[in-house]
Formats: sequence, structure tokens, C-alpha cells
Amino acid sequence: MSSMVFAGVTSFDDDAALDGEVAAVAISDPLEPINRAFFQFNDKLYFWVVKPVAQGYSYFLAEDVRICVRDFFHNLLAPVRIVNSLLQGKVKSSGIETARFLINSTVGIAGLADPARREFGLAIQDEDLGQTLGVYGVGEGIYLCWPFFGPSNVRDTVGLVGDAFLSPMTYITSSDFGAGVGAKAGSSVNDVSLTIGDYETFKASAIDPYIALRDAYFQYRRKEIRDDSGVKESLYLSRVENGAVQESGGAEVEALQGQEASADSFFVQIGTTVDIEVAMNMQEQLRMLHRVSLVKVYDRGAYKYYGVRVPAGKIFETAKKEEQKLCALGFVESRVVQ
Amino acid sequence: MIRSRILSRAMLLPVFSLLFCLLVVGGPSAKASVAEPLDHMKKAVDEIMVILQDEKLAQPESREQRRALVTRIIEKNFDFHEMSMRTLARHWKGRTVEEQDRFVELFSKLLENTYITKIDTYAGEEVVFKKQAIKGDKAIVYSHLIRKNVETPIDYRLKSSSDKWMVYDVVIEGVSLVRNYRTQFESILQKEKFPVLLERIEEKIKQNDAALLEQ
Repeated sequence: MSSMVFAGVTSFDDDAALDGEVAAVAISDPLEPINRAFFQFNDKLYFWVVKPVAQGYSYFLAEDVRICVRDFFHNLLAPVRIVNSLLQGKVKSSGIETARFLINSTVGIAGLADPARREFGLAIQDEDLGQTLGVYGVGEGIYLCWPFFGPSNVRDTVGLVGDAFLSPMTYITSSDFGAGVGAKAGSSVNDVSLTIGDYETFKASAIDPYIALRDAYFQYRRKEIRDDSGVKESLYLSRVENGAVQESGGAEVEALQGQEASADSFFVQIGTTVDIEVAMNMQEQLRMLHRVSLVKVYDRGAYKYYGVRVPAGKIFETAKKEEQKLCALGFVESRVVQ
Repeated sequence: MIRSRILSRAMLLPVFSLLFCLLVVGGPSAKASVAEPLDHMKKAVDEIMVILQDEKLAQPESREQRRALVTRIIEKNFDFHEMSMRTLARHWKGRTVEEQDRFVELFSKLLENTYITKIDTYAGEEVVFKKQAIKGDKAIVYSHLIRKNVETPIDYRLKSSSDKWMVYDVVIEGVSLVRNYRTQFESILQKEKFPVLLERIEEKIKQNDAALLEQ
């Protein structure tokens, strides 16, 4: 077992994409027709209702005031970020958010200003239940585009509902429905008033705005989930076939790392020349045994390889043990990539 | 004594610049003279900032000129050919050279004209460069765009070709531009033929141009 060090911090883009790999796990969107309908609904809602209201609103309120309103609503949701940081074991993040909440609620006058960031350099730690579930290995489920709420997926929808229990807005709504919905709508209009033009640019740049938004949401959430734990470890396995080691090149590993390996999961890559069904069975076996999930299938003629991900939250030592188990299944040559 | 030291330094200068020229001309070793990717990006963005902050150019009547100036800097620093290849991905190889050229032309036009509309609404945004990572002929430059007290991370992916770094992907808040277009084109090409994709891009550019004129 040799150790390989990848220079640089990340993910150098997907050169493999040029050679025409097949993405085995694309975004699952069986409800596309309904989602598209709701996407259209939200689009009209934006242009016919939200935007004109936001424009009128910004006519009466100066931008500074609107930034205060935004910060105020943002501060109210600090409990969501604190709890989710803790759930993900990010003690430091939860400390930062707690400090931010205390400073901004007092010195920042009930959260209207953000002295925590400006004076103390404490940046917002964006965490929510959807991300927490993701960190624990819960898959996205199918893509959903909700009316009013916009792009989401099954996991993040569950997260949204869970987080609602930590949001003061929910308790306002339960005692006075009108006031709660009004506050939510007000905060949305306020947010939109600060970003008018962004959605327009997005639409102008996209050839199929529905697909563009779906993919952007997917990429964005993936990034939020693999954020800042600072650990970059993955496994790289190859299999011995006909006495020779079959392994894929560094560029391919790199490409896979760029797309799929992340701070909170380990990447296992298996090279094989067996046919696809045998390999799929092997995957299934791995999945059952080690709770790993299939990420991609690359097909290069005679040589196929498969990437699987070890569940998040495991430390490197654990990943090494997983690797040994895999070796017992016939993967003789292996590498640990750190 | 002091004087002679200054003198010798002054004499060294032409020698160094000559050496520099040799390095640039001298094939593979030219890499040594390529600017750091971060400095390169910073320079390009600074150039754009100077144009955006020029009050004369911000007048409605000089809008055309401002757009043209910014477009020139973008064209110098973005590798649209590489971008096109990466967005079409597996569909790139099967195309004829004419189709590929036409695609590069349309795709870069689309990117430019959406970027340009953003420029017209410039309102004091700032860009801060954080760090860079280099591996071989690739690099990532990490930056933050600051707008209305909100920081947005923007990563530029660059590739060095012959003598300079060129951007081939921009990743905003974790969303890769190339990947986003690739997903769109892939989904369109699953149902339609390649010329239809070209038509749709053309149509989009026309729409955007019309919207630009209305402003």
C-alpha cells in the first residue's frame, strides 16, 4: 500500500468528461413535468408579483435599511445554524454562530446590524438540516421544485420542515397565521429587492433555465455539504487482472476527486476489465457490506472503472479498514490518496 | 561607492530584460516567465474595475464603448475554445470542424452578452483575491465578490497555454459554469439534433441583444 499525495487543495476539473464517460448518477427527476409547471409558476410569480412589489418597496426604503432588515431576519435563524453545526460535529462553527447571535442581538440591536462580521471577523456559518442529513450520508432523493419555495429535493424538504421547528417565524405563524405568513413574505420581498436583476441575468444566460436551475441547485448543495471540514482524503483502488495491475491514471482520479470526492466522504475507485453486469453485482455486494454508494461508471471500451463513496463522517483509519475488506474481495492493489 | 552600485544595477537591468526576452522566446522554458495565476487574474479584474469605475464611461452615451472595452479584456483572458469543448464534452468529438467553430462562436457570444448586461448594472462591487492552487498546467484562483455586504466565493479555473493563463471555467458558490452548461446541452442533445442546439443558442443571443437595446 503506497501513499500518494495530490498537490494543491482540490479538485482540478473534469478532464474525463471530454472522453465521454457516462454519469451513472445524474440528478433524478421523475417528476420533471410537474416540476417544470411549478418552475413556470415561480417564474411568473417573480415577474408579475414579487419583482414589482420589491421594486415599489425599494422605492420607499433606502438600501441601507433593507440590508438591516435582511440581517434582522437572518439573525433570527441563528438557532437553526447553531443546532445543525452541533449535529454535524462542527463545534467551532456552532461557537462562531452562538457568538454571532449574542453580539448581533445586543450590540447589533436585535440583529439589525452585523458587527460580529464587521468588527470581530466572524463569518456566517451556513448550516441547515438538509446539509446535516447530507453529511450523514442521506441521499438527495428526487429533485423537487416547489411553488413559492423553489428548487429542492426530498432530503432538503425534510430538512426545511425540521428546521422550521427552530425558526421563530413558525411560532408566530402558529399563534397568528396571517402575521407569520406576512413576515415570511416580507422577508422574501426584502431579499429580492436587494438582488433584483440576478434572476434576469440567470435566465438570459441559460438555454434551458429549468435544467440550469436544477443543476445549479444540485452543485450548490453538494458544495455546502462538503464544506470546510478541511479533510481531503480518499481511497483509490485498482484490481489485478491477468497478472497485471489495472489501474487508471492520475488525471482520471483527479477528475473524479474534483467531482465527487469531498471533505466528508472517501472516494473508492475500482478498476476492472470485467463486464458491466459482473461489476454491477460487485457494486451491489460492496453496497450491502459497507454501505457505500455507487457514484459513477466510466466506460472506456475494454476497461471500465467504478467509483464508490464511503459514507461521510468516517475518519481516515476507518476508510483504511474498509479498504482492507475490499482487498479481501479481490482488489489486491490499492492506494490511499490523501 | 554608492554611486557605482546604483550604476551597476542600472546596467544589469537591460541584461535582465534581455534574459527575460530570451526566456519568453525560448520554448518550453518560457513557463518560468509566466505570471502567477493569481497575479494574472488580479491584473485582468483590475483592468475591468478601472473601466467600470470611470465616470465618463459610465454615461449612457458611452455605454457601447464601455462594453467594447470590457469585452476586449474578457476575450484576452477567457479560453472560449476550451470552454466550448468542455461544455459539449462527449458531443464535441463527433462534430465537424465547421460545427465546432460555429459552436465556439455562438457560445462565446452568449457568455459575453450575458456578462455585459451585468456590467451595465455595476454598483460598487469589490473583488478580493484569496489564494491560488497550481498543479501542472492548471490552476485555481480563489476570489470573493463583495456586494451589499454579502461575500460570494468565485473560483477561476485556469490553464496555461504557451505563454499565459487563460480561464476555462468559473465556479460561483460551488456552481461550475461549464458543468451547468454541460448539463443543459446534454439534456437538449438527448432529444434534439446538434443544429437545433445551435439554433436555440442563436435565438437566445437575439433575445438578449433585443433586451440590451431596450435599456
